[in-house]
Amino acid sequence: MTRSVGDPGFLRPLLVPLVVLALALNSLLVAGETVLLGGLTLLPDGTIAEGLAVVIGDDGKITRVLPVAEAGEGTRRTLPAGSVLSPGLHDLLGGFAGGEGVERTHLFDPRARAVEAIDPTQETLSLARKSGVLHATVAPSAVNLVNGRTVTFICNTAETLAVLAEGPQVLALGESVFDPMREPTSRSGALLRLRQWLSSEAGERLLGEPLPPLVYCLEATDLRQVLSLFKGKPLPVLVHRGDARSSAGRWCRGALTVVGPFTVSTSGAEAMVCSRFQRAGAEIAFAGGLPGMAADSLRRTAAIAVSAGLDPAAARRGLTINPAKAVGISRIGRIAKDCRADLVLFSGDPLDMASRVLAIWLGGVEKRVVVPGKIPTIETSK
Amino acid sequence: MVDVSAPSRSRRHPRGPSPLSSRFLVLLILCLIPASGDLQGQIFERATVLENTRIHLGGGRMIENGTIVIRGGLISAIGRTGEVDAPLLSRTIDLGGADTTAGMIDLESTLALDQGGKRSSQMNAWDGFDRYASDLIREALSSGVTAVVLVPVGGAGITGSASLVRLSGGRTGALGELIDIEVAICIDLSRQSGPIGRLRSFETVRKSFRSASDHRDLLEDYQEELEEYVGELEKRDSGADDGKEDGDTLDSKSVADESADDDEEKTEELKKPDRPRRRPELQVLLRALDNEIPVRVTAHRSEEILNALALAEEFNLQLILVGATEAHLLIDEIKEQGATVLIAPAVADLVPGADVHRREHPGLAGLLSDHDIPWVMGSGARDPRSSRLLWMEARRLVSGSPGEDPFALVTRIPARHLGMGRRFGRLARGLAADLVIWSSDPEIDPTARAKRVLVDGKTVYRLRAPARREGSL
Repeated sequence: MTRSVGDPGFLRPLLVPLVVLALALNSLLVAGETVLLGGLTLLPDGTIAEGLAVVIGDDGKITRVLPVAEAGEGTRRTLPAGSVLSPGLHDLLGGFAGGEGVERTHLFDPRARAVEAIDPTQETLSLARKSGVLHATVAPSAVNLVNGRTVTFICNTAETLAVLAEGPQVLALGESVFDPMREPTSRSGALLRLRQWLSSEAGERLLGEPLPPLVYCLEATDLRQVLSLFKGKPLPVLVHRGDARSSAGRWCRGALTVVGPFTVSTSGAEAMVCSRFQRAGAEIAFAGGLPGMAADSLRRTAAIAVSAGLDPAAARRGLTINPAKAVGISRIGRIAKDCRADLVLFSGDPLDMASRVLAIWLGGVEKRVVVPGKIPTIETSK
Repeated sequence: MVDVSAPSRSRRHPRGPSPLSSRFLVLLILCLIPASGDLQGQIFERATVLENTRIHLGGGRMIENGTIVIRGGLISAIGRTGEVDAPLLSRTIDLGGADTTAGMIDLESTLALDQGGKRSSQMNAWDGFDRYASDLIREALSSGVTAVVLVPVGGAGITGSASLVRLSGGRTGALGELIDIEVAICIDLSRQSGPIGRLRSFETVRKSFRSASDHRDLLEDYQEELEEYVGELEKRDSGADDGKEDGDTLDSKSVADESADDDEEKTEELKKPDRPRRRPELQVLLRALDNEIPVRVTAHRSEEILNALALAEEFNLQLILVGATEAHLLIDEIKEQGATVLIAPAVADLVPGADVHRREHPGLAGLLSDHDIPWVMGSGARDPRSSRLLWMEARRLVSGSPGEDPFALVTRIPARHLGMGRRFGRLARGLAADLVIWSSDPEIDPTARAKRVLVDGKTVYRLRAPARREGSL
């Protein structure tokens, strides 16, 4: 009996073992994957889309975001109808330092590190996590012209702090810098000293860094001075607590601006500054003021901004992707391939104060938040 | 020459008075009707018809493509378009399908209120209300709030009387109409941060109520003595009359002498009782002791709540616990006392120390409902701008209590709580035309904004430039 070369009959005895091997390999590859589907998904542009499945790999990262019809095998988690899967919220410049964190000895203190001032065992970190704030960035107090570097970490009460990255240098102009015991004591003095420092070797090095600094300029006049300092250079991240009645909003085209926290005391004009910035072409990131404020003050800040005219999509970006951009971390704040699976499932739009946190995923590991039986459950199937 | 005018007039009106004069007479009679302002408005004012609107009636009930007829500040008709007749000469506004709800009522507000200075029970919030603070009042209106209970704050202890105000527009540019100057007496037991301070303020409050209670006893004694005195006087008058009648049969001179001696003795004995000194600072406390008005006690921590409950029990007060952040720890005690809880979320933000938040219960509202404890909500009375967040806070509150209707929480329920359910708080015929017209459905879309607010049927707020809403759901 002869066999032609094209005849695959000789493989027939191997067929069954090959199929079994392929299935085993496939199951090994997808065994650790979790597919989240059935709910709505908050996209990086701040809009909310339906019909998407988010696949989380066993390495704690998002491996794919694709239409539900194309979702492959894995542990399927069917999310409640109407729920919104969001990236973890990010409190930029929250007050988690847990200590004084004020050092006025050096007017220029670039070596200060916020990471050294944080108490990771404080309960407020877990409270923040339960309200959907999975990431926080703390900055050294803005009492000097140059204040040191921020740190971004995962909100989780533990013995050690889960640091994601140290961030940009923090500069400040304005009344917080003035001190009768040392120079400067005026705005013009502060501007002069900061200009001198920026033209020094250390300043040149800072301006050459890929990550732009974060500058406190709370008043409109401080903002104007900062913009004059950085004329012709990449714009820094601005921290501004302005008022829509001033013309400051118009100057910030292309800048990333940190606003908040907004409270019951915030006037309509103060909250309206966000929409002014947005109309001028600036992006917004929110400071929630945790833990001094209530656990959901970050969301409330965004909701107040929306009630004062900010586009909802811009507000959602201000809670997620923009704070991550401000501190130069690309792997958080988005539901996208290769990003950390730090996710929050809200019962509705995160901007709606009626929405509750149903579940969170930290590095792909689910942590249920709500009391079972009180809300729709997440169904699991293989 | 022929007179053409006279015959023609006589042809048109062959006999009787001229119709012009009879119309004038009717108008004159109508003007003389001793009617209330509302009735006069109902008769004379031109009606406004809001048509093509989604009317939210509360409890999930809705009228799609509805019409609301407003006349004299009241809703004179409401229903589906086509089923409601527009009155003659009415002004019609097409709302283009926009959502219309009743105006919201904030039960705990310091809107445009002076918050400084020493407080006492004689003060009332209305006196400190700045009717010309239009920026603050318009902020509240822009979020759909049309009535507020102003609560005096500042210092611990008794802070004064709360007043109910509707944010209607005045002719002189002032905003706000007083509905009730003494809705409740207000006490703050959580103002002091330390335990000794809290204890002191509680003791001061107790002392004030004890003084009021003693004063009431004095007044009652005085009333009794006065009645006795009057009775005695009447008896004597009748005795004197009897004496006069009997004098005919006796030796008139001797009897008259004896009677005069007795009268002198009795006049010396009979003395008009002294009226207790007037204590104006205790008047409002007396009303609270007589359960004419409730007592609002701001208490957050468990020990403050216990003090408030003890106060209510000691003086048999109608208690409203304001704030009550840690009420979940004392559910049984609150139920036993029969207190109402007024959840005021924003208050907690401004309480000294973050420990209040640490023991906050996200499902407090649901817990109170489960235990049949009556509860209401207000925005929180520590900041003049807090009313602006009322709707947001209502939605946040029900997020932990599925099944609660956030809209009823800020409209129908507070109106009923204030005893004003037949006057406003709902969209129904005969009730005040306090309406909010929204950019989208406020019960679904968190980005909905008030486009137009009417109080008493008159526009008091209008959104100037509608913003783009790219990311609306």
